Amino acid sequence: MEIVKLENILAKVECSSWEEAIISAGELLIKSGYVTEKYVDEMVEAVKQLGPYIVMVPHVALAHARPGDSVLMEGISVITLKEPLDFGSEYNDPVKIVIAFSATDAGKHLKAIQDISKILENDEKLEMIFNASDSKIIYNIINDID
Amino acid sequence: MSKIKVLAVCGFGVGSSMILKMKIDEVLKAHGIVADVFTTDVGSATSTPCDIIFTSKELEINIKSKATVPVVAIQNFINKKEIEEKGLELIKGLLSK
Repeated sequence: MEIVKLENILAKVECSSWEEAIISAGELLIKSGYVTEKYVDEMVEAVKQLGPYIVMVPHVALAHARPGDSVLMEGISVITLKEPLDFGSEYNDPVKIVIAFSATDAGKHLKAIQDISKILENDEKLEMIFNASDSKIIYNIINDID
Repeated sequence: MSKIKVLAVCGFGVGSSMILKMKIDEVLKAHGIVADVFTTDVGSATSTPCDIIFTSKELEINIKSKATVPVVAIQNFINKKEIEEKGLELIKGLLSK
């Protein structure tokens, strides 16, 4: 089963700030036609307003914004960071993996969230994803292809 | 109280809180507790009727000052053990009232 498409994965991205990391993951959502550019700004703004709560699991940020006009369809992208970055999360920094997603409405995207949580609850897989040198390896880990 | 209302809260009520809800559901089910677990955003959290609120450490401060029910702050949303340790006794306490 395909949880994340290969073109929506990037490995070892060089970012110098948490904003850049969110933008990098967000650009994949734009390229795939899931969201408009405004959505990426909204994801960055969400952290500025609400704090780094999106780093809800150690070393993983779940970047997202509110469902709305800037969301065209539901989608997920995943990037790993070449150098781990601090998002300001007291407990879960530094961030090594950024997962960005778009939701069309709160009820409908449960499937996507279930898929994401499957990735998050497997420490071993997360470590493998972080260590992977290219996106194809990450694609196979996430989508559980041997 | 026979059935408890549990609110999982994140910034928009669509992402992190959904995952938290799924994990709370799993913990309660494992302990044979029947509950309605639902999600909302941080802005509506304290105006939503419920018996207990679960949220993140970062959002706790926005909620705790206005909440009239217990607020449980979870650091790792996927960690069922943390949810159990911080929330289970509180929920059992509410149920025995």
